[in-house]
Amino acid sequence: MGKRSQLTNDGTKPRFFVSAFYLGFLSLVAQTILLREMLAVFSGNEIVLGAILAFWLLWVGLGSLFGNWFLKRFSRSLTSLGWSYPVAAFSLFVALFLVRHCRALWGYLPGETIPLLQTIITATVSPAPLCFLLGFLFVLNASLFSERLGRNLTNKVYLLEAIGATVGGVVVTFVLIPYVSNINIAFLILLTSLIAGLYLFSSQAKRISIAVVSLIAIGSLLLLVSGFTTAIDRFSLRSVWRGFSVRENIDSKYGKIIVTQDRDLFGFYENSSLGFYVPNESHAEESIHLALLQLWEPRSLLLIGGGPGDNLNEAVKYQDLKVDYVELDPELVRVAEKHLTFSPEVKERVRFHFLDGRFYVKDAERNYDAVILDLPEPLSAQVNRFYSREFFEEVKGILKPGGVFSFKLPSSENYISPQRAQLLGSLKKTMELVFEQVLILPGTSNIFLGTDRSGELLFDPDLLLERLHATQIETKFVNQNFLFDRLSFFRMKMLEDNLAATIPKLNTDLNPICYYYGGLLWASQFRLGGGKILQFFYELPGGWPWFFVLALGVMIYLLSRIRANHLIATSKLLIFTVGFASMVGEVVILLSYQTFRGYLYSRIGLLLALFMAGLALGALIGRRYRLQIKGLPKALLLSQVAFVIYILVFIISLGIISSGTIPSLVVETITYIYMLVAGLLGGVQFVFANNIIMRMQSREVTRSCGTAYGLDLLGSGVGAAFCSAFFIPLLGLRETLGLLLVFALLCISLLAWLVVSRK
Amino acid sequence: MSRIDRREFLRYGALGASSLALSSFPFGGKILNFCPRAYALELASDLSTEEARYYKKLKDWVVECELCPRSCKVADRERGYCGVRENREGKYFTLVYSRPCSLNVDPIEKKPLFHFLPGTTAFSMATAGCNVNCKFCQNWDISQVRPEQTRNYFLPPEELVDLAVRYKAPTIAYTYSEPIIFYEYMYDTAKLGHTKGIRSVMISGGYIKEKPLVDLLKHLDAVKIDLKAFTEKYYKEVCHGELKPILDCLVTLKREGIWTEIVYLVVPTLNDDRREIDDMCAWILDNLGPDVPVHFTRFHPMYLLKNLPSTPVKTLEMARRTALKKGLNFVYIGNVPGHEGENTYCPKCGKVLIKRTGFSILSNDVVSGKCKHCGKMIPGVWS
Ligand code: SF4
Repeated sequence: MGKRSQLTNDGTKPRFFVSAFYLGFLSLVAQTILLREMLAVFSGNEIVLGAILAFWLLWVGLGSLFGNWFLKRFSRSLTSLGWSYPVAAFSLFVALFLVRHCRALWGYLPGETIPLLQTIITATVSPAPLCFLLGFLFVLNASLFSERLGRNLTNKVYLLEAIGATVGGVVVTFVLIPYVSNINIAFLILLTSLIAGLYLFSSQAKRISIAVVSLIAIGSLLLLVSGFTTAIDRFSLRSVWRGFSVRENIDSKYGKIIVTQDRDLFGFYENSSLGFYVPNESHAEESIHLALLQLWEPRSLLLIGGGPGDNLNEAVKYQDLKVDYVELDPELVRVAEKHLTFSPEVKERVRFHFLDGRFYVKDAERNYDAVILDLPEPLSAQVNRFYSREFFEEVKGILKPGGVFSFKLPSSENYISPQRAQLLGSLKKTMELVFEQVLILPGTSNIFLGTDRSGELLFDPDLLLERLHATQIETKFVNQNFLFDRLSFFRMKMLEDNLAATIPKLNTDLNPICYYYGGLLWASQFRLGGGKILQFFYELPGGWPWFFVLALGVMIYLLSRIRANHLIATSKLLIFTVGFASMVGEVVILLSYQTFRGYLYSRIGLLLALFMAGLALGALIGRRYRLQIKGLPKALLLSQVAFVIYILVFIISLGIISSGTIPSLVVETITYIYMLVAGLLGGVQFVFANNIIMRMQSREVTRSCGTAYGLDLLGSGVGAAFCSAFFIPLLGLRETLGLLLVFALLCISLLAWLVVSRK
Repeated sequence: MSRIDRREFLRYGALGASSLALSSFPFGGKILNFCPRAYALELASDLSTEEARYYKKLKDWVVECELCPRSCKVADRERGYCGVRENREGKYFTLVYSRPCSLNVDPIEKKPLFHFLPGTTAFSMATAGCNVNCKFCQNWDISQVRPEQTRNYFLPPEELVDLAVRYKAPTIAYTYSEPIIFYEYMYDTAKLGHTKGIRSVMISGGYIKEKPLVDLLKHLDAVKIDLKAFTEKYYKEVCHGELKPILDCLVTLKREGIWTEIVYLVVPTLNDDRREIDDMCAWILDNLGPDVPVHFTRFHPMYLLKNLPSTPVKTLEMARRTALKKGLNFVYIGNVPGHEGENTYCPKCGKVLIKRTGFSILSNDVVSGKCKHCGKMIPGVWS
């Protein structure tokens, strides 16, 4: 007792608090900025994001398992803990460098798409040292302070880390990202890590260590305030965009905007993807005229996306046509206005609306002759929501009778591959469910047209040409030869035959299959690589995710039987399943948010913070119930029942939300609550299961804490990977939750059996 | 020579549509009215087993392909880089003979061939596969896959020639992917075509060895070569190919006297340097003479370079100016409809000879191969 209070008084306790809290803070800030950097470099979709998240978690898990092994054999001290934070911060720089320059490191050209395999390798390797260290630091914190303070502090570290992560999420979302560049945030992290390190070993370390750390801290502070770090940022940007003249580099709320100039041509990039460029009359003429020529004297047009470039100039060529142009990011229009000149007609007849296109359509009046969607292919859930049946229905609702809806997708005019046919076929099927007549025009891009009256849409080049002449509009590209070449029946028939050869699924909000088809098409571009893996999983018999989850459940059951001590084995496996289930829940929430709210990028930090806050709350609640070993399985069982109820409520509410009857603010609030509760249930279960392990292995603090944390993260990693890459695209959001429900019920039966057998 | 108006063009298209299959056509009943001679094409159920014509047998059932400079050494049951030639127990086979996956009727200007029967159509076809891998390929879903991954028709040379005749296309164009890799199919079709009055043009990257090229040229009427850049670095990094063999191919084409046009796709930041273009034009002038048409075409974001914006028209104009200044007589700008650089001008009197917009011919003042205004001979194949 005496020794313990002495330890407490020597400043170990506050050091413990600071250290565990800072670990969470560092982890979330680093994760957020690295994720943003990756989003800005890889032109991937949620499948890539899921892989990034999965590998992040797996590395942290492995780091903590390594910590287990390592700390059993080697001594630990505050000095080593103090040094670990700056080393972690330094490895954040390494990760940022590798991600930002991976194109050059892999030997790819600026502007070249990085293949799936290389993307995943980069996403796996670059954060590895940082994540490994973070996992290791968890165990180091738990074991070091448990030893010094004389009791097992794993749950407390878990709690404090979660609180730190919550604060980190809020700070990075609202304070850092809006004002500070990623590189400067990394420097701030280095600085705070050095300060944390100094504080941790100030009572013990040799003077030389203190002096070195202080010097580095002062040096990085000077670099930061002198603007040197900003210069480094600019230099690295130039090297990434070598060959381009970069005119703007803006971090907007919705992503990174880069504007390049090549003679009189301006390229507008959003998150490294070319959004649009000006001049680009051929694209604009195709998008606008092939849709508007379907109508006699169109009066009102809604244009969603495509950038404030030539589309607008082309649209105002129609006399008396009023245009509503919807763009999510006002920064993009501001920066475009700076470099482009809008014609007086554009200024006069185009109304700009800065909000999400789907929200606009939902609230708009029924008075459009035409709606033209000009967005990238549905390669991600974020874009896919503009190609779902629900969105098509919303569009139909704002079109006048006989009005035309149109969008275009890049294609190949000479051949339609099976992967492309799958994507196009799914969209055609979905369109046909909503519109009376649907037409796809072949060519280097496929133009989809839909209307609520049959027989209205034109594909005869003669008639289209007649209309073009009647409008007296001058065009460069859309002319006689263009129409006859493009609408050649060879091409129309080839497209039709290839689409007829596929049996695609419908694309809906809750079953966003097109982003999977899009992913397959994207991956098919590369000779080597991930496409084949995706195709393999896709071609497996339909219900394989169900078998996967059942097999996982059975495996867990069998494993729990093999070990001599069933209780420990079951608890460990349950921790794995808790990680798996809460991560699947988290990903479903993130993608639901993406689908219904549309701008995950600006809210990712906050949503992650809410999940961590939930974890903290859960850990706190779990700690309040200092249950005896006998009561723990029962408590775990009850928390699992609560989880089942949570999934059921979630499934029901998803149905209600997708019907579109709930105000968007309520949807937003519900999402936040779900995120918090997902974390909370995960936290409670972690503490209960970990308590079992701690009680049973009380003499081996290190072993227990590292194992529990590691298994939790490994489960999360597996959950993130399978959920985002396969479950959601193949099964949809609701069925994925159904899958989770079955999994949770399997865990309940395992627990129930455990409770009964222990009685 | 048959020139078609757009009514006819539409009708040919309709025939084509009906010929590809007899399934219902959902774009409206109207099309069926255009199908008096409905004719179904057979889908291929397997790959071909036609023996390749340029290879040598090495020991242990290994073969060395002698068709293109890649000179793949292929072990038993393996394929060459192009993915369409397979070694089976020491014998080398082409898998795409009579197995096209893409068929279209295109204006000849789309190839582009500007000095070859202007205003006519070319029955265009391709099989899967390619012997290079250009990052900007617009037909990557044909060129970068193996033939078992595409939907192929079974169309022997006789039927292919027959189709061209049916659609009144005076020319068959071997195009889209890389015709060199379906060499045997192209060779036999071109040879047969000549007996039925159908000409053949090869739209190629020119990555072929001299012997097969010379043999083939006996049956071809024109060649378009994509000279993708004028540096080995570009060929290596952007195309996984080599420059030197392409230059050799061009010299061979000149020596053999076949009508040749060159296309240079100007890709921003990668091959748009004025000095590089200047060097290339100097080489063309020295080795091929001033009369070979050179087309500077506009790049559009495509395939793996989807994140590069298009070529500014000003860059294309710079390239054209450079070539004209160097002394080349027929320099064009491609993919910019309505640009004055699409027209053919008489090198002597400077008058517009062929006025074009996109793939349309607006006027043609080349009469019997001569300038209508000053009588200067205009090189090309005009009738
Ligand atoms: S033709 Fe094909 S197999 Fe022959 S050398 Fe060229 S790439 Fe290799």
